[in-house]
Amino acid sequence: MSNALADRERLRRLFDLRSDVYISRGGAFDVDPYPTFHELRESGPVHAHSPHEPLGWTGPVFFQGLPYPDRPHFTAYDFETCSTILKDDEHFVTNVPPIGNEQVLPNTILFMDGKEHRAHRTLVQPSFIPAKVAWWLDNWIRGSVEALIDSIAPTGSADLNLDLCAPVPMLTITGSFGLTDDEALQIREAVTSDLGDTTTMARLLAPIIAARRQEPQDDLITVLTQAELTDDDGAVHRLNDIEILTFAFVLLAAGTGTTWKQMGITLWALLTHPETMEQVRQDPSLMRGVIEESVRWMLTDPAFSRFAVKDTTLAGVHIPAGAVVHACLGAANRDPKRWDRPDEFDPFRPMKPHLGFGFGPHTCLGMHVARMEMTHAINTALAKLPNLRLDPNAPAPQVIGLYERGMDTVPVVFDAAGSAS
Amino acid sequence: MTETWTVRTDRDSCMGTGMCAFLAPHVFDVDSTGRVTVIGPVTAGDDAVRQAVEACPMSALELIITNDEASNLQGDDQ
Repeated sequence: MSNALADRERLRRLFDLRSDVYISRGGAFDVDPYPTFHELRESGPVHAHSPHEPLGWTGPVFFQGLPYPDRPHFTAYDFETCSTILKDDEHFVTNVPPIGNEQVLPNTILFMDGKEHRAHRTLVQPSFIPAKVAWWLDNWIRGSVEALIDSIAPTGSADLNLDLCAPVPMLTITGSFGLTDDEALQIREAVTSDLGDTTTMARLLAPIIAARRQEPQDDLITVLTQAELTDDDGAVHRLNDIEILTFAFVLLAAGTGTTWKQMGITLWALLTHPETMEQVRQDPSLMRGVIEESVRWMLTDPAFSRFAVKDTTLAGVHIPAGAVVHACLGAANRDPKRWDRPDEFDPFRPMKPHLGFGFGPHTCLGMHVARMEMTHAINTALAKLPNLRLDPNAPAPQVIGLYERGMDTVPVVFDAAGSAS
Repeated sequence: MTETWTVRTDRDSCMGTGMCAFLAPHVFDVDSTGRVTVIGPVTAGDDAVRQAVEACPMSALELIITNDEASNLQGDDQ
């Protein structure tokens, strides 16, 4: 393990949610959206607006389905309608022909539909099934978590949101690409200093792709070099270097920020429910329910959208073809028709499927790996940081952001390793 | 009257997300072809099975509940 992870100042700078990088996702926006979500569900559940409008956000927005100023926008706030939007790919798709000056969406699994989407997703899906989670844990998750916790443990205090939660998901994915920790941080540096810069990643991955073609290894780039796509005419071909690089970039972009922020939210939920945290410390298997409840209760990405391809109706509201339809999953996950006391964080409530990892063909590819990253990192923190608690002298942590929500900080104190408690 | 539960799987719709294998790992798994496979007995009243069926992102699972008269026809699936 390199010592790249020991530079906590650098890690904190690279993952600062208040930095310029996050402004177009809502940045430091700190309004609790859930009371508004409840009102809109009751008065709707479908409204003709984008999710940020009723929340009073007037800043720039750039997210899936946004801004698209030339299209009508609708948002659904209940469980049933949101499920329909994500599931019904006859009416709601991820890619449509651009109108006016709209950007052409990149040809990645995020923006493919139907057979094409299935064919491409199938290339990587077998690496992300529950049976493969141990492969991720043993090869990449365990080592990163251990290195980070080892650097935190002697100090007695930390901002776990940045010192633990932020780097683990990135290092898990870059590790599976065959990149070192230092190379991972170089990529992060390039991306955060200039949002468009993917050249650093391309430069670092190109030799690995070439090497894996020559000599396969037990990692994700090897999976991508060996993956075979079957065309409509039955011809089989392998991915070229650009296709592999694009795939890798999508996996990193989709799997990094989401898991980090949800992990921070989950830790904060436990730290503010100390009795539950103590129960989890004694029985780490309880993390399963904790994570499902965290994702239901305080979802990091509370809205995703689709384009309507045909005129249709949602909960009595006419949706014209071409409209952007947002499924407010954060609101759906607190639908009182489905959950009692929906605003309460209660990891012991009966398990009930939620929409936190989406639904339909674009259901989160990495959900099982993300669950394991959160489970292992938090359980390790609870086991190795004795007497862990929120720092009573630090400002109370807040959930900030709009389309990518996360903790501003998770400031903790604990008994430093090696000192008498 | 006792119920018999069986699950019908639609492997053509299945995308292998593994949602079922997460929620009811004693009953479902994703095989090497990336499709759902039933690996354990389906027991009437098993809430995890009901969750898995409901949560399947592709609606590739169907729960069929029969009462004891009809269960003679379905018994082999148990």
